[in-house]
Amino acid sequence: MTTSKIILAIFLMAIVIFFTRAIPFIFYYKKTPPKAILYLGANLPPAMIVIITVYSLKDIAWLQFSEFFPALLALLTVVTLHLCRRNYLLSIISGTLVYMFLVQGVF
Amino acid sequence: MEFSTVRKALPFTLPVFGGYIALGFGFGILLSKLGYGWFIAFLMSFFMFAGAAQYLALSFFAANLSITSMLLVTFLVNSRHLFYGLSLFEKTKTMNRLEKFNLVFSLTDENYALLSSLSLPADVNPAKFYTALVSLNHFYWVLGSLLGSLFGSYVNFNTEGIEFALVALFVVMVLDQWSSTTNKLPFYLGGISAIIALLFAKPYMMPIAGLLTTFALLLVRKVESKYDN
Repeated sequence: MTTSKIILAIFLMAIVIFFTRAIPFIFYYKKTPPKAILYLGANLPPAMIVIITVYSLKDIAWLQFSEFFPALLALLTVVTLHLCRRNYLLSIISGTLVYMFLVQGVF
Repeated sequence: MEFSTVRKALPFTLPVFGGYIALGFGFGILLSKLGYGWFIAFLMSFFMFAGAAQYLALSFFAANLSITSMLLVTFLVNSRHLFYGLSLFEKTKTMNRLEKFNLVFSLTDENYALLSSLSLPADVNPAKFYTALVSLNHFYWVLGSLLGSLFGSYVNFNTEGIEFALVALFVVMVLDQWSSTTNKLPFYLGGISAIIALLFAKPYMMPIAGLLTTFALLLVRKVESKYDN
């Protein structure tokens, strides 16, 4: 992707992000939002986070052992650590190190 | 901004400091791996100031996604920010326009959590104190990204596999959301939408899955409200 397209994309994304944060202040400062909007506000985020997780996993070749195994082990590391310690930095850094070690040193 | 206000705000930002420096650092390294320098890291972290959206944008750049798709997905991923403001009206009452703009601009997950949970220390001007808080955190995020970007560009080390940080960040977000949400249905709807979109429209997986899940949720709500009446 060209640098000029990336800079354009960055500014447009920044505007979109600002807009998502500003919407309550623009529209609902004086009146409460419609129920459908409140419903989406509560329920869309968990669904979207599952979607971006699947998205981030889609380029791993799951049928190939050398790709499947490091990913599985690293995922287990993240989930186990996070359920036990609830320290997001610890979970992210450990999982990434396990993955890097396996793809660099073992496979 | 008075120095004494910043000094009073500083201890409150320490938990975010660690997180933002580390996550920002990881972001900077990944960006440098794609071949972009510190200036892009600065632009993104200063103007977007959104962890998940920035990490995700890296994979968009790598996949050369169209700008329209990028914007749609960014909007859907940041839909969780749509309602943060609702509970912060009270805190912005005494703010001037610039301070209010800065607060809205800086409304990340971490700043939102911090602002909604902290108890204001005595003898501070609330508007100035909140401004100092979110500005310090913004500074940490930009600093972490710049350091990571410089480290990634100038220090030679084998980065193979470091992109897993992105997966790990999202998995942690799913786990945190899972334990703080009583209604588990959106998780399943999101998963099903993602798989359908992956099977039938892989290049446009994100926008398609996002729209599918939005429609599915609205449909569920319609059915639910019919039974309620």
